[in-house]
Amino acid sequence: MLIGHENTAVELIGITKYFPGTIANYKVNLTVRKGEVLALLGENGAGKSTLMKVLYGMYMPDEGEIRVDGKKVDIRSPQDALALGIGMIHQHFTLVPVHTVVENVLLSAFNTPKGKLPVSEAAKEIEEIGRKYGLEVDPYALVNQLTVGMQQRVEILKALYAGARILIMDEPTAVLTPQNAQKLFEFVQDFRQAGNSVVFITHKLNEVMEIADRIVVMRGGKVTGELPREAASENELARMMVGKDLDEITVTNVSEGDSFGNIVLSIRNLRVKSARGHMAVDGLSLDIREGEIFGIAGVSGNGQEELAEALCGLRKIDGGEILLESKNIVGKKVMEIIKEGIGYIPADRHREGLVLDMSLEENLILRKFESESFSARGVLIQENIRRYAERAIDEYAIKTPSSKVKVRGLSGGNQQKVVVAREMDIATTALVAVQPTRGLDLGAIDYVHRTLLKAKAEGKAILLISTELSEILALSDRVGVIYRGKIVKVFNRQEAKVDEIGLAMMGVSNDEAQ
Amino acid sequence: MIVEGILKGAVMMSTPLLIGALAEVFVERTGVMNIAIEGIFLIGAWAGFVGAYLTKSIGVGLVCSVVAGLVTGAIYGYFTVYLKQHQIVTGTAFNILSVGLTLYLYRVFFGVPLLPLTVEPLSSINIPLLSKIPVLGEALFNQNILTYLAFLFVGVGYWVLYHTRLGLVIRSTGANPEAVDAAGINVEKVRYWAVLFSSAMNGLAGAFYSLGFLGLFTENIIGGRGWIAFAICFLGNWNPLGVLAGALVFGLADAVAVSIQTSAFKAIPNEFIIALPYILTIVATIARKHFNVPAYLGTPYVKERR
Repeated sequence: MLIGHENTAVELIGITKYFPGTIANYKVNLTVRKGEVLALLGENGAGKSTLMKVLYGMYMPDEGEIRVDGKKVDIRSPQDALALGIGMIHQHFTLVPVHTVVENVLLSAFNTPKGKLPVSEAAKEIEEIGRKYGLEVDPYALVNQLTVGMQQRVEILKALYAGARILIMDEPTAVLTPQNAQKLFEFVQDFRQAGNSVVFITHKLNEVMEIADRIVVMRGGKVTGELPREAASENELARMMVGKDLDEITVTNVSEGDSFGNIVLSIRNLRVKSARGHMAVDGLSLDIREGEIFGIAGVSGNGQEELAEALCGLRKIDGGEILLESKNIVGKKVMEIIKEGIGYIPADRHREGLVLDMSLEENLILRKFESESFSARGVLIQENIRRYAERAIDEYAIKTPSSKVKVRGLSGGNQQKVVVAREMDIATTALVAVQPTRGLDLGAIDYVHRTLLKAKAEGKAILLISTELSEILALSDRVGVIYRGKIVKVFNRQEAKVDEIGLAMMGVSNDEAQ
Repeated sequence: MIVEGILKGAVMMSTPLLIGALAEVFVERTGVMNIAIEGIFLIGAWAGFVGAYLTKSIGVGLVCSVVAGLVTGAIYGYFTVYLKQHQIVTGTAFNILSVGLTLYLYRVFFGVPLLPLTVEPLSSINIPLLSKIPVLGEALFNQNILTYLAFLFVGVGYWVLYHTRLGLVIRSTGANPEAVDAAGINVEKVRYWAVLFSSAMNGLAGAFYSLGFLGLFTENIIGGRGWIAFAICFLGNWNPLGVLAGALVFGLADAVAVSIQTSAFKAIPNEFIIALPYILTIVATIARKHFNVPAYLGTPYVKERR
């Protein structure tokens, strides 16, 4: 390697990491230089996070070595990594919600003394670091009372307090609004300017182009490409990522405004309380027509979950009406709503969508086992169920050895296909899809998107709730922005502009913005 | 005179409950329910008695009870923390086993004596001057060593839990073990040590019943008091100070019941007094909206595979 050691912050040499049944990383070489932002790009399961968890001491590599500042090091735990100046911001925050900011910072700082906690000293230092990098946060605030954006700041502060010079960020913008993401980028630039390094893990091409100095692409546990940003194009990167050109869903799939049929699903002044008791959906109204995809954009926690659950009969409704083909379905039980033909793809397939330790067949009939073809007088008709499952496996191209295997053993994409297959069958009139592609790789995302477009072509009314703006924009005919339980703005797809949507997501109305 | 007697009895009866419940606070704050508490109380009572009887030394008896608690905890902890077995199922098995095991081992050592064997119980340590304070003096300053230790443990426990790094790690482990893992601290190790600690303390608490005032061992000597300590941990909201209040309430009910039983006063049946704290527990559970239940209580920690 031509780069002198004085310029190198971290070198990973020949890192191999096996998990039972899979090779997560295979002989990976990676160099992080001082004062650079390195984007680590790849699909889900490409091995980016695993590689960085090896560097951060959360996984032990099976082969290979790590050098920091030219010296071979032995990183056995995150404490070792932090002591070497390597910090990591995880995709799922590793905060203790019931503790204060300063307690969280002290928990992970390797240099916290054994005895009494230096609370006030640490609080002062947190404020100082916050001022330096524009990451101000009240050190005595309880983490569970902070917004997601603020919680991420706490994660960053944890690393900076521990003296991190190399910051690994695992998909840090996934939970942020466009505006907060912009602020994060500013921090990354500041941090780099000060001579530090950032490894930015992402699968979003536009972020890479905006922030990276150098780009490393991974696929299938190996590095498939490395290039400076100036030499990169989005198309080329996408090709390196998936190994083939993506047949992208473009806006051309979206129908013209007038071509829709009658209103199928109409929500009037809906009010729904959250589990914590506040009015999460607060006077929300919208109409969805036959063959229309209505996308709901918004920062998570603005009532999306409650809206979806209310529509599917899973949550008590405190006011308003839901009209399905002009019939009020408020107060109906889940089973009745299923019979009315509303399908539901929940945000968390593991928690709500599937019973992982039950078979594929059983999962496929989970919400419709009462149907006459599946059970008679309380006894399941195994033969019909098996045939039905085999048809679904065929139709949805679910990769599985048989219809009897536990769903736990399937890949994330195939698990989601099971949910989609079941709900598409239920959804004779309307479909509620919440984060239908969360955690899936590009191929599976593409499949889910095609299926939604197929449902649209069949004339179903589709409510698509997603925090991925790109997904909303790719599929929706109209985009409604949800903020504090209300639809604050509705855009026709052709007129929708990302920055306007972003502002509406933040609760800024157009007049205020000007 | 009666009041003083009841207060002294209340503090005495609350001692083992306090030790057990405090131990439970620490272990549950790491996310593990030491539901074997009833069984460890019994094993501690047995080991304490046997040790003291065979060596004629009550100090050796107390050490035996701690060691017996530790050994039981080491096994329970291995099953629940490392093998990730269900805590309630495993704990229940331990509790049932302990009844038969202690009785069997008692008979192995002593056969079936006609009269229960006895040892000299722990003597009170009278603190000069302070014990002469009216009403409370006898209750607070003329008790045995375990009572003083238990009350010391409340203050020290509170300080450790809320003001030290160790306490922060303990509290964090029950509230979000992933955060602890990400900070490079071994979650299983924290939990295992907490189980060991709580079991040792439970053993000592059990010995209070055999050595603290009776000086003998019978198979039903604990009679559900381990469960009461378990409930006090909950009632005290996983806080050493709350636990202190809870233990005193139960101790007081015990003492009042005893004094009613031995007096001519029959207007209130003593069973009602004994039942009162349980009723209060249920009422408190319903009335209180927010308990600070450690978020991962009872959930084994499996390091994310990938």
